Amino acid sequence: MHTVPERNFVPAMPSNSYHAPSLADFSNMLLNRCLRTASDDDAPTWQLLYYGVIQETHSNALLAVLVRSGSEEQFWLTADLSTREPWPSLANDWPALLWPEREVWERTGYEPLDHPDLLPILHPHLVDLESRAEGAGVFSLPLGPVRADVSESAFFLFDTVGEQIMHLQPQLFYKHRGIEQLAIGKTAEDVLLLAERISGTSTAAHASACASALEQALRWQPPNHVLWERQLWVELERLYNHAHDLSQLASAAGMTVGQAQLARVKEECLRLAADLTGSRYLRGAVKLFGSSNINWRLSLPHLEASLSAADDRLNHFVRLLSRTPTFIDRLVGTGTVKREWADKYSLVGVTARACGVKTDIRHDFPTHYTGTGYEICTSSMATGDAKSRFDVRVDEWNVSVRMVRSLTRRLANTERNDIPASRNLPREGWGVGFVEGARGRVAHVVVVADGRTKFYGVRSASSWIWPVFGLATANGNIQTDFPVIDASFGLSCAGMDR
Amino acid sequence: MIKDPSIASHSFSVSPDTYSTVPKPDWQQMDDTTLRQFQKKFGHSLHIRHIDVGSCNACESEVLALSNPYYNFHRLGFFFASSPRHADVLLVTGALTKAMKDVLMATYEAMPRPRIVIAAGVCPIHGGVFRDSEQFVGPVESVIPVDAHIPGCPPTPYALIHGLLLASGRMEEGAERA
Ligand code: SF4
Repeated sequence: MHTVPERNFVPAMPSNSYHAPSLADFSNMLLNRCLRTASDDDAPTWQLLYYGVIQETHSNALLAVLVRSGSEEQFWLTADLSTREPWPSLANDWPALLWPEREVWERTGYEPLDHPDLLPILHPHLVDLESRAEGAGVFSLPLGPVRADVSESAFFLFDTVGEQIMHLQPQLFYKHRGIEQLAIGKTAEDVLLLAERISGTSTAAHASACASALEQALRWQPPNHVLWERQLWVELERLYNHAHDLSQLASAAGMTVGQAQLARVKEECLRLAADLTGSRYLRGAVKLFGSSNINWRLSLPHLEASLSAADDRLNHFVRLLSRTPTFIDRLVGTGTVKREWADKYSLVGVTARACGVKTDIRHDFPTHYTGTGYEICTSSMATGDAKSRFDVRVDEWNVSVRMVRSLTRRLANTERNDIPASRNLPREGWGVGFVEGARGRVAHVVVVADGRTKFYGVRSASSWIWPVFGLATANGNIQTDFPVIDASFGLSCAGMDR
Repeated sequence: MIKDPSIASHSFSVSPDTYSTVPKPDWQQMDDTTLRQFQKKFGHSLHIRHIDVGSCNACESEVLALSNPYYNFHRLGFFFASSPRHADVLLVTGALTKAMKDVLMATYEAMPRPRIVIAAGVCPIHGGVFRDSEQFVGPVESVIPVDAHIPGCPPTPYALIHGLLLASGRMEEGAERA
């Protein structure tokens, strides 16, 4: 039987964990570490990966998991929620916590004091949203949950005056499947199966975040070729997602040819994924404790050819779209995210980079991406509108194509010697995994006890971006801008709702 | 105005009795004559309302792919309808969650008769990995009658086209055109 060599062990406990004696202490520590200042273009040194409730032996505890950019250093902060002491809400100072605090409140009944907007979030069907704008001529317009042609279920309440949108309240969690609860008591393999189904169009991102969290918990250090292969899947996923979002944007602006051609690019990427892994959505591509047994040398020519064809087509039609004034006109100044929101709401992903914030897991943790052709793409205009998001996506497409090429070449030239995980893996541990998915940072947190999952927490990129979506929509836009804004954000409800 | 009242009754079952463990609600099954009428009325063009009752979004992605130039299901006379009031077919994806149950019933109620329901993906048929979740209500079949099941996680666009042709009774024609 194989045993895991010594170098494949990483420390069992998070390098740094701290149990705050009181909730006030907890809040202070969190604020001190995490708040980003507006003058700074870089992401804050400490990033908040997870904020939620964890079931301790007797009671509930508040858990925040942080990671320091550029290092392996993690920080797990907990505080008891059972002592009946007051819990001051942080959402006023740090609106990124608006929704997470609501969720904690709804799960535990423990009320954050002075929370600006305390409404149940997990049971949308039991809450009637009320109009927020007042005055003559204000109309409330409900939209959803069944909306548009083919789209995910979510509800939006518009307050409008004439065409102008005054206020928009998104209501999600219609698709809450309780995945985090479902994972409790399951084996690592079963949890991975669930992780793949959190957000289908981010399968690879969620699966590799989950796999690295589990592997950290069970103290298995993946060798480089495993990391490269996972990154390859994530980049391939980014390609089809960006093609999809660009196509939807073209459709929202009435550019039918652009839409059809970009949808074609997406289909080609999906077929490439199916050719390589057998699944169009990369289900099962990420393996626990190892890599696939694809013969990369054989697959290389086919991959290069399909990739070039898709790349040429996308760039050709993006060029045509960029030269179409009626298209660009629809994007400029539409759905603008203010720079200060990006900071206050700790935005991630394309949305943040379109505001000029340099945040990207691949940039903040440049471990195994060096030499793959990666560079961070922030919008040069940094206007935070639909046009900036369009530009960032196009740039990222090109970067990802470069990365896929170089990663496959690397894989083709590496001898793989997978060290099978030993049967006597440790039976308990904690782990965090985070990945830059197509929409932004995906983070998974697991606690394993007795070989089974004891706690599982998921924060997808969309969960940090949704709260800003309403603000950006009401930011001087009219009703007919909504499809453009929706498409330019490209958010996932499934990832948020879990 | 529907002249023949029998057409207003629901459902025929294209699926085998694989799912017979699921308690069926007391819906009147559609008989052969009505089925023929349905196919006569809608055999050539179907308008489809899609509803997501708790999916992971991969199913939506595949449903959307039907309209891309590779599959172009418009050539077969299938179209997406933006309102259930204009739809002949309800295409359900996802694991039915508590929050979506009433929405699903309301959408189904809003459809004109005759109507057919297609469950696409493992989730609406069985629940898949979400079956044990306390948020999961049950197979869609336990809430509204389902006429065709398209398994897969997610079902590929070809499988979806197959299911649509099957449900509208146009399989042979589909084979000719393929
Ligand atoms: S059947 Fe599979 S792909 Fe479809 S919604 Fe369910 S988990 Fe997602």
